[in-house]
Amino acid sequence: MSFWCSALEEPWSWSWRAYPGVWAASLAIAVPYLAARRRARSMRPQPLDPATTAAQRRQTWLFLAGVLAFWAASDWPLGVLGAGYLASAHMVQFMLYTLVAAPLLVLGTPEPMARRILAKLRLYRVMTRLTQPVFAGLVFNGCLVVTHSPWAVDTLRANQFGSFVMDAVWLVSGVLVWLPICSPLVENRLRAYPGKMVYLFLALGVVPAVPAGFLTFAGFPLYATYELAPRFYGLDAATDQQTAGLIMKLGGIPIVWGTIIAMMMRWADESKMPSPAALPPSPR
Amino acid sequence: MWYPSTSLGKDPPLASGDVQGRESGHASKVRWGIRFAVVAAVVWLTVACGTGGDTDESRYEGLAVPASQLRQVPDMAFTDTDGNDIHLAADTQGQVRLVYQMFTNCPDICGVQLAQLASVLNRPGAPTNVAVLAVTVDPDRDTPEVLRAYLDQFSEDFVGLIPSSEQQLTDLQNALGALASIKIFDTTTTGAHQMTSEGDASHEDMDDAHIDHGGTAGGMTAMDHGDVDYDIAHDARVFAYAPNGYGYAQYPHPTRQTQFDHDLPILAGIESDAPVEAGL
Repeated sequence: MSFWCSALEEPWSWSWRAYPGVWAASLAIAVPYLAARRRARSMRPQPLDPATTAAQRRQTWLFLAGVLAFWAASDWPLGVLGAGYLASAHMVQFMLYTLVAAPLLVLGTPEPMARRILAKLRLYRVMTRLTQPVFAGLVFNGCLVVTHSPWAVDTLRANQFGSFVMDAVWLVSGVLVWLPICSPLVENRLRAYPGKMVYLFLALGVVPAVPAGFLTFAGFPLYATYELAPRFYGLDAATDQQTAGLIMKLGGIPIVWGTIIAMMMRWADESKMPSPAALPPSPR
Repeated sequence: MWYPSTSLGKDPPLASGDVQGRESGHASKVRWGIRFAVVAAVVWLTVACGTGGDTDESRYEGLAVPASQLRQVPDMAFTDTDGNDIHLAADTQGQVRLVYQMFTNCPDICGVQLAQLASVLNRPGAPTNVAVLAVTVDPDRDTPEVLRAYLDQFSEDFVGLIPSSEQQLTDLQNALGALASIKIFDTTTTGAHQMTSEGDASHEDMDDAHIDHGGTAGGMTAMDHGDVDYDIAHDARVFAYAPNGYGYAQYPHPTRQTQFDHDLPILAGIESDAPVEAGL
């Protein structure tokens, strides 16, 4: 039994393996969240209106879906394949962490909870700095570039702790890059839709194309970990790496462009509505 | 809809001063960020591109054989998977011979090494005068059909060779300077532990990193792979002989494709009969 998925020097097998560290990490994210939601509900003096209740329930489901994505990316079989057998599985993990789990966790975090956590940890000022779009975008892409370097992959994936660090960096940098778009704290979000769309395109659409190009067009396998691993159903290392490059290049398109399109539609809807100043005063 | 907006914006920020002045110092942050990005990109590019460079005084990226230990390609004949007699030296003249001992039930390293060779030799510009001679160390189970089907997964050009006897396998290993192969029977199913060996190397040498233990290093795994009732620990080096017949380099597991790609054109160009001057 191992704590976290790392490269194994043995042929791939569909025999299930236990990784308690992954379960513990998933629970460490989910249980405090659910407990906090429960406490907030019990301390509420009067019941909320149905719309707010439904929205809160939806937030809870979004958060739990984020935890589920985190678990699926980290645990057997994807975690093991990504840690030691296939560069393409490694890339699917990266996509799940940064483009699925991270935004879902952010979307599922209620504003009061975020404020309480930041106040307790005295991180409000730090968080405000970190969520500067330029900073968040650069940190995310810096992490992306470094964690996909051959040195980092071959060094970190060789042991459980290193593998855990890599996964943690992906999740944290993924959360960071989504905060300017959908932070629970309204003041940390970009306000204008054009700014959000440009940020999303630059932060998540442009830079990943560079390492993706390296992976797709490299003359040789870049990662010793995957090149020298026992073959997975005969898939050769070069094809696997090219697949990884394509996943990195194309895999984010549905999410990034889907989000941009959704923002455009919302922007269009909002621009059709009369401004609050033009509305007649509402009856009291 | 990509984010809920139910409760967002109701509470004031904890420190209003942090909200204001986002633009102040913006230029310095951008500069700092650009520096960070440039450094990260340089690090990545350096590491990514640094895998194929020359490393030391040796002209080979594989294990260079010292001049005093140069051996010639064994002058032996084996039966190939089509039933033809193949003379290792005479029938491959003018070619780089990559002699590799393997067996089809090998759970790990054999397949990786053969896949590496196939990938390198399939690349455009790879030398064409290269013969991969895969000699099975398990002639009992590796029938011509089985061996051919296995090798075809990697390349139809790989030559599969089957020793006619254990003695011939031993002779080959002696001629190569290879470590002895050892059959290991799993005691949990056969009730006995048996080791048989060929070649001239001592069993203590089998701890050498060049050996394919077939999974024994992490526990005997052969029983998990089909009908295998024994595993074979064998020398997992690829023995490379230049067209002049001398073996200048060897490639243990793990050997990167870049290393093979670097060395094969050098080996392919060595045709002189003066072994030391030509190859070292």
